[in-house]
Amino acid sequence: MTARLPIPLRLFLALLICWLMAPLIPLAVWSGSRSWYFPDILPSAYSGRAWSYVFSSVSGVPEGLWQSAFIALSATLLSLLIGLPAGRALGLYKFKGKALFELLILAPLIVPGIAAALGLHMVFLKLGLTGTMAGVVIVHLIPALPYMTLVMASVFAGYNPAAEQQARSLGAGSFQVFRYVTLPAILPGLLTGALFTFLVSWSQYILTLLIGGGRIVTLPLLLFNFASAGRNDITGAISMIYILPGAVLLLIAGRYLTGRNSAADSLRQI
Amino acid sequence: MTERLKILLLLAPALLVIGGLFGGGLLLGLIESFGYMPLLGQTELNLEAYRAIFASQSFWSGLGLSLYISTVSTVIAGGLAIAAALVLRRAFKGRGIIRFLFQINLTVPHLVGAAGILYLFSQSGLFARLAHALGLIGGPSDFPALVFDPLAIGIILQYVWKEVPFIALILLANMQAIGRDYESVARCLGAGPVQVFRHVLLPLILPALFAGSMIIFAFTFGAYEIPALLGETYPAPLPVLAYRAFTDVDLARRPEALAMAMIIAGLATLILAGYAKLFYQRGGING
Amino acid sequence: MSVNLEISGISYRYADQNAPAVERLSLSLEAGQLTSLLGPSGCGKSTVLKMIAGLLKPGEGDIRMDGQSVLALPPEKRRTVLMFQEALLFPYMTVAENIGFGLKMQGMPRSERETRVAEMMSLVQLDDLGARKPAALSGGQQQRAALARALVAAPRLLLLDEPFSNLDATLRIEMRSLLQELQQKTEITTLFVTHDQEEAVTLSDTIALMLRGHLIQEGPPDAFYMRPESREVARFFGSLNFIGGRVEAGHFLSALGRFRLPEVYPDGNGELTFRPENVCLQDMPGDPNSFTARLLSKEFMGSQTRLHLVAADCEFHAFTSPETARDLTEGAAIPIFLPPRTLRVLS
Repeated sequence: MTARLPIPLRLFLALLICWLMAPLIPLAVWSGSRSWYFPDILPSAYSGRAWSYVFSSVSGVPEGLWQSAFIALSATLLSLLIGLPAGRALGLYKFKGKALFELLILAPLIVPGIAAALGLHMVFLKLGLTGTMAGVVIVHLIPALPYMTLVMASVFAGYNPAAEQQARSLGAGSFQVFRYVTLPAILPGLLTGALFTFLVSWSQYILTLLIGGGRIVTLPLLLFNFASAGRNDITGAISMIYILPGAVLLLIAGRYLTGRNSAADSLRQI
Repeated sequence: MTERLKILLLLAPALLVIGGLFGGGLLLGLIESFGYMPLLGQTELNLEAYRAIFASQSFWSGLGLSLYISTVSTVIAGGLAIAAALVLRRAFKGRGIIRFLFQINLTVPHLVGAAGILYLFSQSGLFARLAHALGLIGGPSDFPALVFDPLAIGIILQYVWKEVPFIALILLANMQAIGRDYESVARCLGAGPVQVFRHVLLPLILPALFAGSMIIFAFTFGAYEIPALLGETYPAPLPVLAYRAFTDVDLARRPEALAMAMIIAGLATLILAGYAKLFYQRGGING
Repeated sequence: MSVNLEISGISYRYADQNAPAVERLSLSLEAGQLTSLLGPSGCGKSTVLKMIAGLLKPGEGDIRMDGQSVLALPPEKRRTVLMFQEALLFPYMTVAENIGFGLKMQGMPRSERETRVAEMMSLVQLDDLGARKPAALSGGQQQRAALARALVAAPRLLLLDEPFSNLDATLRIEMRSLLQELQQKTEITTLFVTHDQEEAVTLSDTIALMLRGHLIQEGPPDAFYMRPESREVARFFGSLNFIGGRVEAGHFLSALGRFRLPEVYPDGNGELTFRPENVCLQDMPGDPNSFTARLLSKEFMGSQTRLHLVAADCEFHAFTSPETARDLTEGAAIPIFLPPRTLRVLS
């Protein structure tokens, strides 16, 4: 029977939810404020100044937005191409050394990326990859690919490959089997995985900073710079843009999140 | 095509990319931490970098600070997450919307949270203004330093903010999988609500709690941008020290950066080993 | 030690369902008896158990043990132990720790606890397995450990929710006799939930049949065969034959004839039921309870053969030995006798 929660528990939940929302509030207010000095609780003047600055090319935000999106899309696509077959192998088959392989996939999700990226820097420098979009996309694969692989493994773990054999026996070729049998079955999981992988890349800071070498300036780098320069209004505006894909994703895939261990599992990357 | 070959072909691209980028990166980093820098004509391996950092005061205070931040953040986030999961698993009116709100910040990038914490807790932040409005403080400098502070409170607040929903959702999924029957049995056998939690539910969710906590500990131990934005300049946690040494104008300090990175990776590997033990080698679920 | 249990008019409705799972159900259990609560899955019988144990709170009605209402007591104070379909041994404890759990919760000192646990373990034949983890036990051993865990703290009431249905047939029979033995030894009032009528019949002193949230009939096992109170009960217990007609002056009038009845029923419309195993393929000339039927088909079922018969447009079934059935051909006319004491009229 659904009942109301006892008062103390309701209070606890309310406080918790407020605490989880709280940091977003000053950011939103700052983005629309003109002057907001201590000790004012609310800004003394509002304006769209920060927003028009953010959308002008001098701010570097449109460029950063496009670079962030391009890098995240590319990393997601590459992760999908490489991670889908690997996820299939992990989800559908039992084989010798599987545990070891799973551990290798898991490792980049636990061992901080800064360690591997610092080591790669020298080789990337030699290959001319530092300071390029390609270099940043490649280094983003370190957290993105394992994540996509694990999501696909859990998708395939709940997939019955007998349908493929059935289609085969009905005369479908291997591409047709993928197109008409496999793909429709895994599509929801695949899309969720892709959305989350996009966010994993979208949220990277240190990998972009190290390999991009200051020449590739994505949104988080801009955010960091404006925040440490004390430009609160612009930081607020960039933050609002920066959280948008996550909010969209939550609306689309929110219901997959609760109770889904694997999806929530690697969100710490974000 | 044999099944083994097929599996190998499916895995090969991922194996190459992850092994190459991640494994290769760590290996190169290890070699570089031993002083191998062909760009500077340095090709002999030595332990100079490790000797240098072990002799430096800032490394030890940085390591201590990193361990402190990770431990405190993980413990607080874990405790709050248990409490949140216990409440959220109950059936109550409006649970759907509460659960939705609860997971919103999962997709909010860390840096956004950090900026928000800054504007909430700095000495001229929203809370300081509220304190002023309530007459508790006279000016910004009367408000306690909660960011850029020696106790790293701002950093910890940010991590706790971000990780409570993360652990809580893992625990919630775990509790749903376990169901309520074990607890019902214990109730019938004479255990009160507190005893049921202590003797039944807690041991049952302990593996999941450990797993989630380990992930968070490792992440916070290796994260750069949050302490870089919210922390004091000195002492700074290990990842910040490593980044500074790496970008130092003195190229000779790069092996030190790599040495610190390897120490971060080494600790994370220990955690990974613990994680693996938890999931691959348990005979039954022994808490 | 044993108590009587009195349930009066309890109801329960789950939040996500429109119809109540249990509706104004009353039932009483005599002290020391083993009662089966029988019914198909989804009829609400597990909900009844959970209400007795205190895990669910009834929307109305009362539950009394030895005359005292227990509704206000939380589950841990009721001393009613519930055993589930799964053994639900705590996986992180040893078998001995599992069995001693209830005693530990009561605050019994370790040494005393260990003695009691050891006694209980030998009673359920788990003597040497105390140090193992539950995962190292077979399914039957796990259920024995769960039974020991339930009994060791001497509960006032033992509630079992299909505890053996996950076991294979031989193990199930073994567990039943162990349960019977322990129940008789300890004289704990026991309520046993099952969907298996054979299990209910062999195990219990009394059966309570539940359908769709309601108690339909209560009584000794044989009553459900001899004296079903409704078509539903008769059907549930395997009576296949129902003939429409009416009662008139101690006889049942139908298309098949005018049958003598074993007892007096009030006049009026009714339905005659008789079990297929009670149909005699026998010529009784002059007896009103005999007639001739035509064989439609026969079905070999192993130890017996089921005959599908028709007479005066009334179809019915009879069991006979495969030996007898072999000589019968489809379409053949077969003499039928329905012994009066096997007939029952349902209104």
